[in-house]
Amino acid sequence: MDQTVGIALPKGRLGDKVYGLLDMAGYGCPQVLDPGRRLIFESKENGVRFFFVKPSDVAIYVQRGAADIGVAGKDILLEYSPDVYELLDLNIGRCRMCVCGTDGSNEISGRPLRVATKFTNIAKEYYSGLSRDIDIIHLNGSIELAPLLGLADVIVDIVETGATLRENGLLELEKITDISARLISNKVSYKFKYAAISRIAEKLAELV
Amino acid sequence: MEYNVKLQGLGEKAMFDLRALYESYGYRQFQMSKFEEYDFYAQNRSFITGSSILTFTDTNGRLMALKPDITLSIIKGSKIGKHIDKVYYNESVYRAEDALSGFREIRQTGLECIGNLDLYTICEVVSLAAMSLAAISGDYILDISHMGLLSGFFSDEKIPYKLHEQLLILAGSKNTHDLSSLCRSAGISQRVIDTLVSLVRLRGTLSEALKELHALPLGEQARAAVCELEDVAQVLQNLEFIRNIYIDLSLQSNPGYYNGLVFKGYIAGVSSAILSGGRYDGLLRKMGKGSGAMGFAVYLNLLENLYSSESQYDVDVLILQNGHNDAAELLQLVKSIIGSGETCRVDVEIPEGLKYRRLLRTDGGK
Repeated sequence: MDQTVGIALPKGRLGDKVYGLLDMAGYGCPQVLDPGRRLIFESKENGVRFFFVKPSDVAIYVQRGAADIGVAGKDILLEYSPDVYELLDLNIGRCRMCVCGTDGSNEISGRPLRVATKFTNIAKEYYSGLSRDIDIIHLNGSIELAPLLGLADVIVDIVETGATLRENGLLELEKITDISARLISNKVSYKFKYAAISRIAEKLAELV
Repeated sequence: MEYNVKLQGLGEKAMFDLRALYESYGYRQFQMSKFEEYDFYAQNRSFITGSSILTFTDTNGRLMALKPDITLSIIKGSKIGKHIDKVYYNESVYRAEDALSGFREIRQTGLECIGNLDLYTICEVVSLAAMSLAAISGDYILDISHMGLLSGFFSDEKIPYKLHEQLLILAGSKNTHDLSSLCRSAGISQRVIDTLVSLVRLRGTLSEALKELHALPLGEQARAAVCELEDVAQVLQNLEFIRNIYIDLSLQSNPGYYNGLVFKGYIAGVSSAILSGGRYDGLLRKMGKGSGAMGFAVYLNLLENLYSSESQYDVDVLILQNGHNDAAELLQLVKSIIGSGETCRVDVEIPEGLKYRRLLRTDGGK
């Protein structure tokens, strides 16, 4: 079996940071810095092959074995529960999943709480743990608008600095969980490329 | 009889090979109907992978289900005596693995042993699991684990019961960072956390892993599970496939049903486990049959993906003829090509969309 390790990285700032870490760990690939029209970048001497995909798709690429390992946010792992190994907390891309709204908007009674979010599974799981009846509203973006326009009482969303919330008069009401980037691995690849994948995880662990 | 993988697909070839393997060990084929009453599955819903069941109303008004599982039907039909009931099957099940993919037909083959299981029978089932993988591909791995090891460790170390389920989920994804945080927040000592992390990370051949397990500070219940793994390792140690068997304690199955040895099999090129099994005395007890049981299933449908990704051609050789060729000569030619291990098709023109490796013209064209 080809022992080159296929690595799926999220496009954008997080992916660039992770590539920087992998480069420092000795798994660089100069083509990444001069991509041209290429979509896949390979370093034969370092035994790695990189490709950049939409952050929410990394886990699917890894679970289905198109990539051996990848880096995905804990939010994506909690929302989609992919059947993968979660080998390392990279301690980057740190933020938190929170319930946000106006002051006291999470304390309404007499009807189900209206919750707008991109993360419906995380929200359902959280409120189910509180035995609270909710009306879930799935949105794909501009979540902060929902309570401002009366579409929802609260939102469940990722908060990094809280600046967008403050600018729109919203507050962080409850923290659900901390989020950071995680190194994940396809379960079968982990077994057949155990030495290579565990060496990458160990080297990254020394840097984070 | 020899099978042509290109013609029949890996799944079909495996089905024939595995049937021959199981019959050579004296397993008899268990044949079943495609339907069962829905109530039967409703009572054992948590045993079934995924929770969706395809139902329909029979002509007499009874709610029926297309089989989502085979093991339950085999247990229902098994007669518990002094002997061990050894059966194999080759069936389709129907289930929705997740909400997105909808219902699918999943081809399975596998075997079950029901009765008072002794060390020989346990080792026979593990051996047959390894041989099943070897029959499909030379590049395979069989991971084994023991359900009593982590749960025994939790009891030995008095880890609060409410944490067990969450810890097993984290162990299943080798997520030792969140597992450590959860233990720390529950006030569990660093010594216990370190041992638990070592157990979850542990991976090696039977001899390597058992050596590591012996070096860990384990209590009585976890140690008993290690002894069972050791007994199996001793029996299997001289068999040729031993180098393909690994211990990986992150492998866990539903603790309500499974106990003792559990295992999963993988072949290179297929992105998920192709074989899954273990000992499930708990399910037998739940169904009111006080005995032991062990078995495994091989998911043949996963091989179709492997075959389609490897197969670039519909046929190796396409022979074009003009209808005036010497038929006997042409038949001889086709026979010799097939005899050399290639597939061959004769036609008067190139069929639209057909992918062929080689074109032979006997029609005078170029």
